[in-house]
Amino acid sequence: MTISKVCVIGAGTMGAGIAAQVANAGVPVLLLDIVRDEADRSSVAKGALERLKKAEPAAFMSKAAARLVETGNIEDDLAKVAECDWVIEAIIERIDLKHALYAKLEAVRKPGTAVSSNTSTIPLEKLIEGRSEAFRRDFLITHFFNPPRYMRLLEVVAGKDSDPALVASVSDFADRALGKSVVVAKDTPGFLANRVGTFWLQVAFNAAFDLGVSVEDADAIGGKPMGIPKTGIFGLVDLVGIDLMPHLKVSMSATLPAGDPYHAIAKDHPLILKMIEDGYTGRKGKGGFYRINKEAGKVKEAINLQTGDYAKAKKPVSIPSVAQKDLRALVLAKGIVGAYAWAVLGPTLSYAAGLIGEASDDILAIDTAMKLGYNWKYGPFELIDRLGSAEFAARLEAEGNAVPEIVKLAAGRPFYRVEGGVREYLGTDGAYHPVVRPEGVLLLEDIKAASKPLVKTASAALWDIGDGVVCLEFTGKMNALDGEVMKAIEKAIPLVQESYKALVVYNEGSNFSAGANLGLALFAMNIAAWGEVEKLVTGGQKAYKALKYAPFPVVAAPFGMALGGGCEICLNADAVQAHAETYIGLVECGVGLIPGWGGCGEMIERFRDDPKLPKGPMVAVSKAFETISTATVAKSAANAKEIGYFRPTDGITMNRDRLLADAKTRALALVEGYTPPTPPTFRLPGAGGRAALDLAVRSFAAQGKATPYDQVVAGKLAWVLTGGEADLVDTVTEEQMLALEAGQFMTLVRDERTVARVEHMLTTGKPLRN
Amino acid sequence: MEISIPHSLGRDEAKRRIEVGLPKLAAHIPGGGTMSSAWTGDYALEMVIKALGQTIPVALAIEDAALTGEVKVPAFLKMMAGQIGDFVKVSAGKMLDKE
Amino acid sequence: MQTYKAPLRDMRFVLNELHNDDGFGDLPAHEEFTPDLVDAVLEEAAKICEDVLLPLNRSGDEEGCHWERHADGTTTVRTPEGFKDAYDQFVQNGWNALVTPPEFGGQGLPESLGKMVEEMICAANVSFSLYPGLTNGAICALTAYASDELKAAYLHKMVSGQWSGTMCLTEAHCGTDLGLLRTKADPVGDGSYKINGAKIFISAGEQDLTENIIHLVLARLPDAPAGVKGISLFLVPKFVPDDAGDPGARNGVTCTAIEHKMGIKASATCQMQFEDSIGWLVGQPHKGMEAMFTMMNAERVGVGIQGLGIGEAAYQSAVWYAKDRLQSRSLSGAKYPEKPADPIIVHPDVRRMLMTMRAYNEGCRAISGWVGRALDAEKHGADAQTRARAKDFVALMTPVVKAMFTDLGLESASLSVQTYGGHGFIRESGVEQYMRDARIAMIYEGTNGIQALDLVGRKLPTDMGRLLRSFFHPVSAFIEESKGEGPMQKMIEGLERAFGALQLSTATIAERGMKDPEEAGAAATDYLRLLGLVAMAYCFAKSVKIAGFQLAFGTQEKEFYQAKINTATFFYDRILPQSAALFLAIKSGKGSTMAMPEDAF
Repeated sequence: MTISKVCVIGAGTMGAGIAAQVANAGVPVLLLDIVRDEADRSSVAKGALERLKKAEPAAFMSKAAARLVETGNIEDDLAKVAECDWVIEAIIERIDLKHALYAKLEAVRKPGTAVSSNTSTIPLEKLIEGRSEAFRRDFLITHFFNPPRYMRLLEVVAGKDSDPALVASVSDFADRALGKSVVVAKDTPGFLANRVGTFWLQVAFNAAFDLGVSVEDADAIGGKPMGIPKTGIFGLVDLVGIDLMPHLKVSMSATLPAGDPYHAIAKDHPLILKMIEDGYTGRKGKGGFYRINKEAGKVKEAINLQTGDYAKAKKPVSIPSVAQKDLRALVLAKGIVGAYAWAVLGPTLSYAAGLIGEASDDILAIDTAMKLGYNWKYGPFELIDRLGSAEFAARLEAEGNAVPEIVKLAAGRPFYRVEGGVREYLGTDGAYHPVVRPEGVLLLEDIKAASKPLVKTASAALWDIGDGVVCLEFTGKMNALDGEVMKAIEKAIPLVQESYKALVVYNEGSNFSAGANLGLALFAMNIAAWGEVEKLVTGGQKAYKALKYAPFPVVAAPFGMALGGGCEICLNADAVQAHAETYIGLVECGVGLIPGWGGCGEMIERFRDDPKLPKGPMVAVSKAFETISTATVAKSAANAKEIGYFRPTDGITMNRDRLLADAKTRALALVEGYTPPTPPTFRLPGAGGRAALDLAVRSFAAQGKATPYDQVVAGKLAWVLTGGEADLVDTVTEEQMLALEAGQFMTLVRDERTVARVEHMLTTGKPLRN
Repeated sequence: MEISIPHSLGRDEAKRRIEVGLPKLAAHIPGGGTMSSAWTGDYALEMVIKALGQTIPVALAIEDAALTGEVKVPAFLKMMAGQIGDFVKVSAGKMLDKE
Repeated sequence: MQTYKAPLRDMRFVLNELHNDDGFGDLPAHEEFTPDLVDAVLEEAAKICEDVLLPLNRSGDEEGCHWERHADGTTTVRTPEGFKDAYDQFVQNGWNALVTPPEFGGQGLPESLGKMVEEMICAANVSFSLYPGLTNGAICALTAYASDELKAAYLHKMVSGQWSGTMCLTEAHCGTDLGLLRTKADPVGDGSYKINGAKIFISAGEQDLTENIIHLVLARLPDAPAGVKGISLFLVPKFVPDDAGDPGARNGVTCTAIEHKMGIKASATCQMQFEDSIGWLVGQPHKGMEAMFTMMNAERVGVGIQGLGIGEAAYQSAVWYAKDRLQSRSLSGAKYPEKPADPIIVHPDVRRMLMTMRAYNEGCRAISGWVGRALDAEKHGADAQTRARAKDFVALMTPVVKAMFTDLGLESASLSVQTYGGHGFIRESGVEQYMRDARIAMIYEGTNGIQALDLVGRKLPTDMGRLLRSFFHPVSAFIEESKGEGPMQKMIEGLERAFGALQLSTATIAERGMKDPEEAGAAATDYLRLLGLVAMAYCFAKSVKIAGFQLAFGTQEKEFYQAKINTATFFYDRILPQSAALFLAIKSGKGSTMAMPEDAF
């Protein structure tokens, strides 16, 4: 079945967010809710749409996406469900209301329309009690995570009567169009992610209270060292809402099978109940385990779990550096560090392992659920591997605790291994099975496990990714770009030309690239090694232009942050295939510099070629100036197209795992009849254009939006964009533009105000407004 | 630092003598330095003495009874401000004396 | 013969002429210190050093200190004859607390001037300098960290010189690695502590110059964490002050022995026993190392000055001998045919030695003036940026001053002995004492190896090289503005080459050191020397420029400026080329240094 229109019923946080993500996929969506106001019967859904448009973080990836959402109510507009191929029910968790809704849907939907529920607490069979066979065939649970745009996990639960083909279609749509990683779960309470997550939080709470561990220490120990986000335990609950905890406990206690270890640890802590009573429900309330005390001057405070009083948040206990990276060392560390770490990990990992056979038969599913649903760096079984499954079992035994079956089955072997270059996992049959990716998914991780790089430098590597395509991977810290990356590029050109067909620029780090290696540059600046700095600039220019004019297609595949030099490599590529969540921009002005690797010329070319913009040399220059001087960063790939960093023809991949495959396909599609682009020439407005840009900057300054140094930097940018000493009758070549960039860059780099900005950014991560 | 060289020539004659003497002065900068000059007004002269990598701007105003001016001694040569000032005074004096 | 006349003209050159463009600016707090006032202070300091301290240098070395046990069981240490009178004169005229701020009773002189005076004192009598010197270190720690009560009870008398101070850190089993120390402090309950332990190598631990001695002792509290994070600083007086503030009850602090040392024999280097001594906490519990480092960083510059002082005294003594001693004829024909032989100063090799010493001394003095100005600007600079830059510069240059000045000081002392020939080896000549006195400066207050590690391991990587900027940028700017044709062309090219070698070495060490700390460790000592040489070269180039201007504009002091140009040229011709060798050594990496297995030694 094809899904061309979706209906979402229930415009609460989840329903609205899901609708927005469907719209982000370019699919029209009907958002319905109850009638509350007779005067404006669809006010609930309409209000939700307005809130979505202003949501922080943003729910819509572009203005166009918002226009795909149609609002209505379940009385007047339910019939429109017949236009839809998939209906998602995301109303309040009341079975009576759901039953009533499903009955109505049964009447109006067209046959074969999928119906799914976003429930997290009601079993599937209970949901579809009383429904027809046809309805039961087309029904499934699709459990999204909050916020639906950004959280990659989708738990899919099929009923015993659900049509596998329909479930597969919906899953496929969720995968490719919505960009979700689908994990198949059984119809058990909490499915997988929340099943483990709820237990984990309860165990962590209990241990903190029992061992007298402060919230700061609990979050420090139970966060980064375990690969868990630094919100840890208490910070996370503040985010999610403390008032949710009692509800979860009630729900889980009621629905979990007798004998489930959760029952033994489930308890309400009086302090938490009191906090909820007093309105301390977390970040959305007046604070939670942490709060900002505005009267004391915006001081961050933490609650004392023993006394219930707030005090200034203390620096957490120091964790020995070996324990920060080695999980074994962490649980064996002296004092509360090791004690708390094991008090959390021991029971949690044991519980997760114990789910095999009941909630899941697949260790991969449990790991993926925790990694994508709770942003854990390692899933529970990967964590057990990091402890050593033998050591884990031994310690459980030594403490008189039961060892889960699957751990016994492992018998000291790891849950994951790489055999013959293939990643394998331990199945419930005790044997290893290869990890199979969904069809069409190509991961660099798998290629790296199975092969050696064609070329390796200190900051980059070249990989053969099959079918004649080479992948250029950044490998430095934060994927920073430096001379070693340029070296790899220089080696890539003849290599691909000789023996391959195309090049893709891609990696699987947390970000595509945060830009040039500023630390290196700053060091060179600090020792006045101006020649070295200039080499960094001209070296990058040379390498990027070599990519641009290479005799084969080059496709950049950015995701996450693609800033500065990371943006410029995309600008110089023949085409871009971007992940929907790409935050790309030329941010050099923020650190007192200007783009030095061709960004200036490329942006002028972009705006010049844009058919929607009027003609004239000043138009492209002004737009380029505006975009670069304000260090504009796109909030999504779609937004990047709106801004002009991406061409209208550039592609967007919704599912992060499919990015490489899509980029490779794009590159191969360009091979036939490929010719490198012609070097552009520019006619730039010179001094006259500069006067106009200067006016714009001064008005910004008058509004307090530009500091004095911002104006200096903008002036240098304007010099480059207007062609320097050239005027309208001169032709400016691309090489001349590059020389202008390098010249102004080197002037700025010697200014102590730029040095201050670069230093501030590197030491604090925040821009300096000097 | 400020300097003042009194004379009794009247503005125009003083100016004429300076004009005549300037090129010769340029050849006599100690240590093989150079001097450049430019009239910024009818009776205002700006000179730049360059020697050993240091730049010393001198601004002179020609008045009826005196030459007044400012020598911008760079920090590097602070302790020599006196000697540099003397040099400028003596040089200006020499130019005024020559017919 | 030990001969010394303070090099006042060169000191005035460094203070008044050389560093006016360093950007640290005129400090309003020191406006009153005009060149005339500075001159007056320098001249008076020279007098007391030359007339009072210098005559006691040889005699103090010959006699040494006396450790005596008396019938009543007490032990005392007697300094050599004349030291007590000299000390009294010294403190009466306020020479002991020159730089201490007036609010604590000191003279409030700028550090830059203070360092010149320190140089003179060390040139005249290094052993003597340690008595007020250690007290100043203790004052530094107390002013920064002690409570108001402790300050009220002790500071004033220490600043006046009535009481002295010591730093008690080292124990038999730990010097460099103070985390291992064992001295204990147990709370009595009334805010005081009982200190128990044994310290060694305590300079001026016991003496007969002052009526009370205030020991600053590093010890561990009962609940202290292991290592350096568990060390606290305590004030333990020899006599606990009574209600009137005078020395009262004798505390449980005894000097159990003094060391028999290679040099600085007139300095009492004591083994101290603390037995249930009463002490008070200085600063926060477990933060003793922080307090200690504040003092040590200041003392490190002071120890460097010891090296410079000795170097200057050794040089002057060698010059005296070289002009007096007649041996052989000049290689280019007899210079004094009426004499039986020419004075050895005519011989190239003797010249080489004298010029080397002279270049070392002038170069180090120039750097000391620069660092002195930074020390002042750190506190009194006009804006936060200037103060921060000055702080960075001091932090960067402190290890260079300490290690290079002391290394060169020993070298000069050795060259002086060599100049004296056989007589140099004889005690009576006086110059061998300089070698013996100089040797310890390379070891204490953080060995020179530790200084080098501090430079490459801590100062270099901080904030991606931020500290380096305070040095590299002025030198780079100077080279750029001075390049081109002209009389200094060759010299500037030499500076540029050496500076380039320094930049390359810095980048090499930064890159390699990040991956392997041993690479940084292996390159550290050579790098420190390279940085120091470039600093001297920069100062010499500036000196030549100024001298050039002075000569061109008709100075009355032609000889002084011409000599400056000569010395600088010698440095550039004969000493600075070492920078190329140092760079090559650094470039070669740690391989051959670390390759040999332990058993093969």
